[in-house]
Amino acid sequence: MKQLSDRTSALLVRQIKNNVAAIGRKLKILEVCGTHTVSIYKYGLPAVFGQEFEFVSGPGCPVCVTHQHYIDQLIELSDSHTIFTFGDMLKVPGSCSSLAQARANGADIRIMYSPPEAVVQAASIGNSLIAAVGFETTAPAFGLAIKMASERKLKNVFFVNELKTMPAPIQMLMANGLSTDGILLPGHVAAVIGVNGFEFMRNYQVPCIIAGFTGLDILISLYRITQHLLAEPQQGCLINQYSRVVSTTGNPTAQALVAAYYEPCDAYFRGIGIIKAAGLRLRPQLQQFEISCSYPPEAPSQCRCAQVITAQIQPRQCPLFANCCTPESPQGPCMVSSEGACAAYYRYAREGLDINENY
Amino acid sequence: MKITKAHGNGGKQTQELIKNIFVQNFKTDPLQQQDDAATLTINSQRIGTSIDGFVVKPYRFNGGDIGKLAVCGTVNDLAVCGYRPLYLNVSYMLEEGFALSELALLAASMADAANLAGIKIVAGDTKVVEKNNLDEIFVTTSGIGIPFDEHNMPDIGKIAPGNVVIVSGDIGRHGACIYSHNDTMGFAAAIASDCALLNHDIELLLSNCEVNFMRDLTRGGLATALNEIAQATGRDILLQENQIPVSNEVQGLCDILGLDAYYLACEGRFLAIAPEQSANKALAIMQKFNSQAAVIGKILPSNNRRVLVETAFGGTRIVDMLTYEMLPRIC
Repeated sequence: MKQLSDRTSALLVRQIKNNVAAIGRKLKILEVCGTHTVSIYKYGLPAVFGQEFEFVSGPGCPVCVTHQHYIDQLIELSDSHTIFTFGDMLKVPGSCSSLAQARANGADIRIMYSPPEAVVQAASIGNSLIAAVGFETTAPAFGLAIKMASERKLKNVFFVNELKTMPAPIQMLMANGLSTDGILLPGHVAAVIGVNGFEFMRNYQVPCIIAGFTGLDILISLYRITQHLLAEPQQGCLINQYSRVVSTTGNPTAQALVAAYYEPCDAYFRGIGIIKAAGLRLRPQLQQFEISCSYPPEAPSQCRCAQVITAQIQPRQCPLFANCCTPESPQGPCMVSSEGACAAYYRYAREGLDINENY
Repeated sequence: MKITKAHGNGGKQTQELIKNIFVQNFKTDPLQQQDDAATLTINSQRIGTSIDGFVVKPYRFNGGDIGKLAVCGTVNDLAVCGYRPLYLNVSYMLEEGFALSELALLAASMADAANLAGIKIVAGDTKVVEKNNLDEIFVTTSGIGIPFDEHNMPDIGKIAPGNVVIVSGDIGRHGACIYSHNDTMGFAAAIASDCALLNHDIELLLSNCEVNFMRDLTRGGLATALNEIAQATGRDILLQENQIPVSNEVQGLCDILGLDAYYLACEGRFLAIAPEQSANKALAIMQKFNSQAAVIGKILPSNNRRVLVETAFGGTRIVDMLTYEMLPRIC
């Protein structure tokens, strides 16, 4: 099986290269999910397709788009609350500290693997805060956690909500005139909202592929993009490559959980600003569980994460990249999250990858 | 700056801590070499010594416990440096309230492992600290040994371009085992650790074929061990991704939690770096102990101190030092 897929991928790589040669220019491919960012670098695709593709990132890594002040607020609240958070948030720099530093200074900050489990743990300790960060993929689990907290009438469990949804930021990128030759849509978001959730992409004249995350998934998706550009260069399309996981209508249970406990709201994206209807907040009758954040304007910084995650530049074009900004001392969120574009680029491809095998 | 967990993961920050705090203050030659074991000469007898602390949680896991682990850790450190382990010292630090019956079981497990290894436990120490000032049980072991063969000692300086990198089995089992024991994730069963003694396998390997260097894969896993070798030799190392053995269950856990198997700890695996002409023989011997043993890469002539991996599609990427705690991902 492994050998079969090795042969298939070698064949696909050749076919993709032929297709791009026939199209006659280098193609700009946008991905909007942190897991895609990592996969692309992890499988060494920028090296394989140096002549064929330029890969750019969209705002789909939840850590990367979370406002600095969100971290500040969690650190402040950690004086009086136990904080439950996904591990990725630990090292994100706030204005002057991070949750990891706060933990080293004695704050009770716990890594959560699932929000419902955090509610179970929180029920037996004092005041607790659950940091609700993520996109459609994590929102249903937070819905389940709220359901548990409200059914058990817990008075000591609160949520600091920063949940976001994917369609609006993609629409914003397109509305701002992003030029791209193909888009890899986030497969796991689509597993929740279905192909239907991305129907609006048909309005744009660009091939859009709902893509899985293995190397082969991405190769197949790139192949479909090039095939489409050869066949119907003036037309857009919406193709579901990840059909073993993504259905037309998505996951009704997950959708119902989100709809029951959340309603759409505007959301703040770090480096970008407010995007209309790109967030989720608790429904009014559940607001006793919510601690809301207000965001001051962001301090000016040389960090260019905002341009990295709006597909305008590559990580290496930021002046801080690999100079003062490294995974050990990240200056911006794209370097801190393991799924951030800068971290992936730094980890897998920061230097030239020339190899001399001659002895 | 304070100590964070990243200082203890075996990666970049651990290296910096050792260099900037310990080597800086202690300034002794063997310490500066940063091998798994230090080489000493006493009355013209060459002696290897090593020490290791164990804080694994849970202290009993699928495939072992902290007693067995503490023996394997020090024995393996000595063995990969070419030493036959002879004597072991043990220190137990216990939390007030720890069950005596549990301690007896752990000591019995430690004795079994020591018997299997052929090492004698000769000195010990016990400390008890107040409740809540230590998490149940910590164990430290140190050992000494003499060369398996004084004229055939592994030495990082022997590594040369064209040498072949062989791994002794599938990687990441111990790390995956500990992650899967974390009950907040609700896994039905824990993956079995690879915790095992390596000294007998290594003795047989060394007495039958030429091996330039060995390293056991512990904290920080395959990626960290290879990066240390690349740093020390100055060479690039090129791996073949599809040759690196990772079991389906370990890969599955990694996919769920967003971990990378290359960085997961092993406690019963080692790397052997052998000249090209003896690689087949070394591989054949290593496959007798574990059918998953495999040639995974080679030492390049270029001097950029990088570990690179060629993917199945012919792409190449860097395999970096671990720079942060491996954290579960958000989505």
